[in-house]
Amino acid sequence: MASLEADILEANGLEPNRRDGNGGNHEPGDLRPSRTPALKRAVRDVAALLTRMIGTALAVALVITTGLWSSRTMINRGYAISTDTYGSWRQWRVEGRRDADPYSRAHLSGSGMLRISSDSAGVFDASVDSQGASLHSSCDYVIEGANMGGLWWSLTVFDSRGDLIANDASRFTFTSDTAALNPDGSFIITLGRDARPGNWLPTGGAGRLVLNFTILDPATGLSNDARVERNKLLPAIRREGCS
Amino acid sequence: MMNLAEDAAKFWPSFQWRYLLLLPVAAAIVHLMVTFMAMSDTRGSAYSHLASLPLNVMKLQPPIAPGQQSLPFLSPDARYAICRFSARQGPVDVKAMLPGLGWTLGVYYPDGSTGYFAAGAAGRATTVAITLLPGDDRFLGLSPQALGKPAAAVSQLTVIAKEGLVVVRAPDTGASNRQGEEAILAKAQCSAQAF
Repeated sequence: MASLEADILEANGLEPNRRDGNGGNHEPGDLRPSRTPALKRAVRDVAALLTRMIGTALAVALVITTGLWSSRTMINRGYAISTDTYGSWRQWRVEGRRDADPYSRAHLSGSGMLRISSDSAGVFDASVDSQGASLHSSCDYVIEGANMGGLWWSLTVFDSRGDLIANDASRFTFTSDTAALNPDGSFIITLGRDARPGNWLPTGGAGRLVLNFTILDPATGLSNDARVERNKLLPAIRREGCS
Repeated sequence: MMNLAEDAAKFWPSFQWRYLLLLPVAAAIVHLMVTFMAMSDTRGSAYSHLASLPLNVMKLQPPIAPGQQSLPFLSPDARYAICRFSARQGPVDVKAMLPGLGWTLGVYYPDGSTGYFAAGAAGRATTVAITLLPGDDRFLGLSPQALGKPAAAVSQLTVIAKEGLVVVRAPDTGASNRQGEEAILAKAQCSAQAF
């Protein structure tokens, strides 16, 4: 009789009050919801397994994403560990050298650029003006540089992909040989869409701009102190206005 | 809901929270692996971009203009003569004149790093002669002196490089000088030594 009752209760998802640890019999009518039927235990096990699997997958995804993102950012943008910043200008400190750090080497290797080594020239890029705003072809800029002390230099404007900006004047760059210098050796180069007298570099409708300023070391080389002094003379990029 | 809460309570206490500390360590390992893989991946390098250039021949490149840029961020502040070299079969000789300020000669490895660099000086022409060697222990033949030939008039430098680029750069000094600069640039040489 008791067995039959237990079977009926179990078939309905209820648990009969089985013998307790002291061997006592259940009391008829004491019906409690079943806590460990096989199905529920299986569901719970599967849920726990799924939770573990999803948690592990999320952890792995987080690890890979963080590792990839931080590496690509360090390689593409560079941080204080591999670059120096002088106002608007940024230089990869040991770019092109055989003893360069892994970020600098990966940056150069993946960019497709042919850059003069940093122990033979100062190669600087700028994508912001002196106020920190992004350089854009909808704005006009004035670039004022000091006398570079007889060093050969060049200033070139590119779009953000590193392509030259097509223009009717076929002007893309000025060098210490081709720019009209002031009597004291300083120079002013303007950047804008509309033609201007003097050293004007057209920017058309290129969108975001990148300026490259290269200063060659003399044939006899340059000491570290002289490099520090040279880097103080980098031109300022002043925004005049935007349209 | 209660059951779910109970399930969660049963599951999470078994979680070892100290494993969380492993996440930044694992991320750092991934970071280093990706960085070192990127460092040794030269598929996007200038050397790979210029793979169509003939081997061990100095080629004067056309003036750089929009749509004719062989490399990104390559400035038209200069004319370039480029030799894609391979010293695997034997030494490669390079010779170029740097007649003034702004003229340079650089030997670049496939990853873009510089193996050798020379810059011209103002008012003084410099001739640079280099022998590129593969850097292993192979016997590469006798020297000209050992063969009874006169030594080169210009002192020859030796650079260890299996392959890469030699780039001679002539600065743009204005339209009136371009023809003369081009003529000097065209005389730059890059050739494999014949045994």
